[in-house]
Parts: sequence; structure tokens; C-alpha cells
Amino acid sequence: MAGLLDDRQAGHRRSVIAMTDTRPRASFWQRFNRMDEGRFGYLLIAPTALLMLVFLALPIGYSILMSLNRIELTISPDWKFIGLNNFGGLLSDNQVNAAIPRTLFFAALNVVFTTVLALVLSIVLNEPFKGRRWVRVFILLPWAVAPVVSGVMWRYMFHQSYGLINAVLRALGLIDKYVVWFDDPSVALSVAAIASAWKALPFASLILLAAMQGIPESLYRAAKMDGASILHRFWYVTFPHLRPTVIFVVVLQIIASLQAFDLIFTLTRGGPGQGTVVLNYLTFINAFERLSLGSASALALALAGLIMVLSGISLSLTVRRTPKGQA
Amino acid sequence: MRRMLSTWVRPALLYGLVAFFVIWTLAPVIWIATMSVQPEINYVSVPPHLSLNDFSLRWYTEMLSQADVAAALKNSVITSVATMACCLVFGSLAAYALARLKFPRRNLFLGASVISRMIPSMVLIIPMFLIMRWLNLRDTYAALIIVYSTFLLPYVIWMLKNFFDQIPVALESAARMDGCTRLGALFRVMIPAAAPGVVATAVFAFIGAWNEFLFGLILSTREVTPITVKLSGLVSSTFHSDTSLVAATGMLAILPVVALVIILNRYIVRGLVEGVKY
Repeated sequence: MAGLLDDRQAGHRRSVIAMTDTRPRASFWQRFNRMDEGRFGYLLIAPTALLMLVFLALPIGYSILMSLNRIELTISPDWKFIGLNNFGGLLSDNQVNAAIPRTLFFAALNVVFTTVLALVLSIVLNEPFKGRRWVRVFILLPWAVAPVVSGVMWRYMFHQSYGLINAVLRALGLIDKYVVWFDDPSVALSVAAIASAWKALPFASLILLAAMQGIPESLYRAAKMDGASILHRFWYVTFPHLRPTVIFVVVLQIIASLQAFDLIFTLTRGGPGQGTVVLNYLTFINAFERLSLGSASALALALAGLIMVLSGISLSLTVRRTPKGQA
Repeated sequence: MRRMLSTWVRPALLYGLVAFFVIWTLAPVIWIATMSVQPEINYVSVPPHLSLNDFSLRWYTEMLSQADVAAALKNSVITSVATMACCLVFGSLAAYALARLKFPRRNLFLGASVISRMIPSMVLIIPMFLIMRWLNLRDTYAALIIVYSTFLLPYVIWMLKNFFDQIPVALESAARMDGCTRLGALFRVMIPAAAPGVVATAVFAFIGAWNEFLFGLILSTREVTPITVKLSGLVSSTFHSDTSLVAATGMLAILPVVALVIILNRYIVRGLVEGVKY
């Protein structure tokens, strides 16, 4: 209320000044800088809000619209409204039913590889050792490598005629002839999981390391005094503090698995046969090869729903992790 | 027993693990780098006989002299730099508003930006293709820059907001007292004070745009094809071409980001940890 009165008084004073003042009107910049806080705030977020409205909200709405129609561009450009049939059809679709176990297998391996490796790596990086500074620099590399390129790299690592893995295994005497790794769908999916974990490891281990460094030193001293061994200290002190971050990493990798596309595109192109076509890859095939935009949209939206639920979980974890955040 | 454990088993285990992680991280990169400087016959033969005498950079020069690869690199540089600039300008304005100003429906915008981070690009790709065709923007830099900025901005805003939040309000009030305008305070006080964070955010935006693939694949046909899309095309049509050429292209596609990571490592690490905080 006081503010309102102040504003009115100020307005009054301004109008008095305006009546008596003979100076030229305030320039655009002067008026711009005098703008009240609320309007200024709107102005600052306006460009971003506009972009998000036109290129995020609009496409989502359009996507929902498409998912309610039968759109088979290979047959005709017409839309036929069919309600929720596209969503109902997902569960009886053979392609989807084949892609679900692949996605689950890929996601499980991806989660296990990433989480276990990230835990070990973060413990290692928390210990003092010679050259730690440089190791920390190099460890970050895969994070910056495009998934497309990491697909190419791991394709060449496991390649049947020039893969490094084959060469090393043969040199060690473990195999006589080069193995055609990508012939077996489950092996191909495992390689995809390895490549995915390779890329995710730096970020996962960094946030685990950050969480680890947030554990008060006094807890370790107390545990040591009570005679706890290294393993005990890890299990009873470190791990409980890391649990939210570990769950965060797990959820993040599940989301990444549901969104896997780039990596598989260059690693296997979905092969052998359809052996590595996970759900998100299937969406791409449905949309841009089969041109059935309706069912592709339905599948994409179903996946998005799943991802948003999972993201909500990970979000609640990070919020709890940093209670001081005012957002 | 205890003593033995601490004197040599622990260090041995530690250095063993360090070696494992270094090899795990670098092996794929070193292998593709090796392939890119050796003739194909050297690594196709069993066992591979790599030799320093055959070392050559001719696959790089050959790729760079091919008009389409050079153009793809140029396209990636243009779109990534422009996206980074857009993200920094729009992002710092919005982040400043969210960090310092009270305005109605501020939380609505915060919520919307959080939710927009969860939306997978596969949902957006079909409508985006149709919208860009309708706007006549297909195969233009503008299309890629707009799309990349739109999905990177929510991240950029959160990172910048977290960095701005850490700057004492007193610093800004002092500047305002000295006659600095609000925008002046943002550009002369906040951004310089948060410089390390701004650098981290800029690198994040650049790498995000550089590494993008799906939108580049769908929204570009020839003129603005980014290097990631070019590389994927080369990989799948490599039956008659020299694999060393593909490896060299792969190296060219990661060299800028790898250089950034090595040079700006400390900033990036801080930015990454800061970016996940809400």
C-alpha cells in the first residue's frame, strides 16, 4: 500500500515537473532506464520466451495434433482424425514390441556401466596421486565428443577387420580370428552401451566427485576413531551421502537410453537387421523412412511422457541436494 | 598385514585404476587418430603393422581440400558461434531478470524453462521440419541457429542464473548508486564479475551446438550441413573410399571441442557442476 502511495506521489511529482519543466522530453534511453522492475523483467525474458513459445510450445502442440491423426505420407497427404488410436496401437505394434526389450537391455547395461565406472572413477579422482591434475583434464574429453563421433570411434574400436579390440585380443592370444562383434544384436547393443557409458562417464563422475567432496571430513575422522576400515567407511559414510547423486546418475542414464539415437545411427545404423533399433531410433524410422507421422508422433510423445516423469524424479533429487536454491 | 596394504597394495590398486581410466578414455580417440595418419593397409592387415615411416597428414589435407567437408566445417563454425552469441545475449538478459528482478509470473517462466529441458528433440523434429519448411527457412543458418538456441537457452539461463546468484547484491547496488543503469550494471558489473561462469556457459553452448546431429540432419539438405551430419554420411558410404579419410574427418570434427576442453578445463568443470543445480 505504501508503495502504491509512493508511486502515486511520484507520478504526481512527475506530472508537475512535466507541466513546469521546459526541458525536452526524456529520451528513449532515459525512459527505458526508468522503467519499473516488473516491466523491465518481462522485457529481458521476452526474447527467450518468444523463442520458446514459437519453437518449443508450438511444435509440441503440433506434435500432439499429429498424434491424434492417421498420417501416412507414403499413401496420401491427408490427415484422418482417429483420436487416441495411435497411442493404443503402440502396444500392439510389432516394431514397438521388438524395440522395448532392446531398449531395456541397452538401458540396463548403460546404467550399470556408467554408475559403477563413475563411482570408482570419482573415488580414484578424490585420492591424491601423481599427475592427478592432468588425469582430470583428459578424463573430461569424452564429454565434449559428439555422440555421432563417439559412435564412429567405437565402431572402429570393434570393427571386424580393423578394430583395435580384435587386434589386442589376438595379440594376447585370446582369439585366433577377428570376431565380427556387430553380427550379434545383444553384443552390438552392449557395444552401444559401452560407447554411451564412455561419453557419460566424465559428467557422472564429476557430480559424484562434487558430492563426495561435500561430505564433512569430521565424519571420516570419527569413523576412523571408531576403527572402521576403508570399506566400512565407504559403505557407512560415503555411500549414504552419495545416494541421491547415484540415483540422479541412474535416472540420467535411463533418460539418455530412452533418447539414444545419434550414437546408434553411426555405430550400427540400427543393424544387424533391426537388432539395435531402440525406441527412439524407431521413432526416427517411423517418421522419416516410413513417413507415418501420426504414429511416430504418438511414440515420441509416449517416450517424452516417460522421460518427463523420470526427469521429475531427478529434479526432486537435485532440489533436495541443494536446499539453499531459492528456485 | 594392515601395513602391507597401506604401503603397496593401495598405491598399486590406485595407479592400476588410474591407468585403466586413462586408457579407457583415450583409447578410442588415439585409435581413430592413428587411423587418420596411416594408410588403410597398415591397420587392416592382421596383425596391424603401424609404422612411423608411413605417418602422413595427407588424409587431412585431402579432406580439407574437398569442398563439401571444408564447407561442413565452416557451417559448423558459423552455426556454433552464432548460437553461442545468441545464447549469451538472450540468456544473460533472462538470467539477470530471474536472478535479480521481481516480476509477476517469474516462477511460471522458471518452471517452463525447467520443463523445456526435459522435452526430447524427437518430439520436436517433425513439427520443426514442417515449420521451417513453411517459414522457408529450411537449409539456412537461421533455422539451425534458432533451433539450437531454443533448446540450449534453458540450460544456459540456469547456468548463468546460478552464477549471477553468487555475486553479492551490494556490488550491483554500488554500481547503481554511482549512476549505472540496470543494463549497465548487467554488462559492466554482473557479467565481468561472473566471467569464469560466463566462459563456462559459452563453451557449453558452443559444444552443444557443434555436437548437435538430429536437427542438422533433418533441417539441412546441402547448403548448411554441419560436420556431424557430413561425417555420418561418410561413415555409411565408406565401401569404396579410404577409411583413413573418414578417420581424419572424425578427428576434424572433434579437434575444436577437444582443444576447448583442454584449454578451458577448469571453467568447464565448474560450469558442469553448477549447471545441474536447481
